[in-house]
Amino acid sequence: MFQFDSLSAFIAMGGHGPYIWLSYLATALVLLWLVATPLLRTNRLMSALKRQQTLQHRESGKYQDISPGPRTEERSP
Amino acid sequence: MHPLRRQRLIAVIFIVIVATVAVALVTYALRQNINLFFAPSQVVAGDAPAGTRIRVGGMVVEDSIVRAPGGLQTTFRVTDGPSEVIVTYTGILPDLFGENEAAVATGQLEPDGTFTATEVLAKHDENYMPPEVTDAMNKAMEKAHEARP
Amino acid sequence: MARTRPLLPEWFHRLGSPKGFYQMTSSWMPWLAVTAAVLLLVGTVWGLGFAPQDAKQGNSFRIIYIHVPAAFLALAGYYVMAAAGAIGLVWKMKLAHMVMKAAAPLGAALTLISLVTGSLWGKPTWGTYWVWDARITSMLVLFFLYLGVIALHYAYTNGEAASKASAVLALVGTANIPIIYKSVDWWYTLHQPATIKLTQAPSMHPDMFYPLLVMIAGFYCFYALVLLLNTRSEILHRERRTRWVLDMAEGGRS
Repeated sequence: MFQFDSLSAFIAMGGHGPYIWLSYLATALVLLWLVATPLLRTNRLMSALKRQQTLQHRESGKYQDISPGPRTEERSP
Repeated sequence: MHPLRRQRLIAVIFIVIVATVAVALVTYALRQNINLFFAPSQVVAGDAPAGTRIRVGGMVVEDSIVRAPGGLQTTFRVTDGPSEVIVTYTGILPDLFGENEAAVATGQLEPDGTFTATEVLAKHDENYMPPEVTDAMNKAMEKAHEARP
Repeated sequence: MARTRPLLPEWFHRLGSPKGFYQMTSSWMPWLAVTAAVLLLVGTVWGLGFAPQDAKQGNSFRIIYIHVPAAFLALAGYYVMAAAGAIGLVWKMKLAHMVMKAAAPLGAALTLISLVTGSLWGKPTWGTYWVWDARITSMLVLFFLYLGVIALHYAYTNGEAASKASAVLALVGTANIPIIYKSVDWWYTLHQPATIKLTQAPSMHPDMFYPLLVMIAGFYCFYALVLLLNTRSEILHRERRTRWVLDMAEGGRS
């Protein structure tokens, strides 16, 4: 059963609203950040690899070179 | 197991044991300082230093809260069972402060044995219950009390 | 070494190789993501709107539904990190080092959540945002241990030296975990003792306890999800010069 009589009562949380909603909001942001970082990092790497390979194919038309070119140490900032 | 791996495993276990023993010794040596507050028994026994900022914690005694008329000054007693300490505090008390609830007061021990607090915090317990359940339990307790001759 | 008489099933060896691990976990990801999202959503709605309020604390106790699960996983995650570090040290297993690196920022974030939500819960109940009691201080030490492991990974340019140093730090830090657990029993603290105990019934009404269980399960799934996401991302980075990763990048997603 829903514990609150109205939406405003739900938001007010008996005067504790700011503490509760701030807790949940901060948690949601951190959890989203945790999921987003590895996904973005992987996407960045994959598109960089793809670009690099297209370049190599263009340069060496006949045979496929799988050597990675100049070694670049990338690190997430 | 490969001898080299066994050697490394022993090294890993050694690191964990040494770290645990070291931390255990430090916390054992500091055990008194790790306590956030003194219990009233310790204060009465003279274990708590007078004149410096310390904390005293315990259960607020029933019917001991006296609010000074026209001011924010409150006096109450905290207990840990065997001993009690009188606490005087001027200021706003936390919502959960109340009789038969635990509280932790920060302040100074006076020469007369009373405690002047500059901050009072409420310490709540680990039990969580809906209000209706608490009401029902209190009623049942009262009934059991009345039934007794 | 186990070529003649395999002690462990084939899938275990596949899990041990970064490529095998990546391919094997690919199919798990959507399931984990959906389970974690559903559990967290149900638990949040249940805890915020449908669980009864506490007789003494009122609604502020609803913060427990994120505070306790986050703290649970912050502690359990430390053991995951330290165990991965130990396996990496003893068996020189690359994947274990990657798991350890993946667990550090995740654990740090969960520790931060439990510290922040605890602080926001402390103000309306105790009357203060922060107090230097044994539980809260040892939890702060845990946060710094996680940060130390992250920092060591950045401090070394040599990957293997970084793994070794951070594994040793992680192992030394395990001494802090029992202290966090038992701090509320060993010393006088402002923090209340544990509500959920291994050997006794929880000191919480069932109507309030079930949503907490849902949230704990949700945080466990979320932890597994992010640990895998981080590890998989790390695998691709370290193996970016190999054929299978390059093939994947070119579009033939395996």
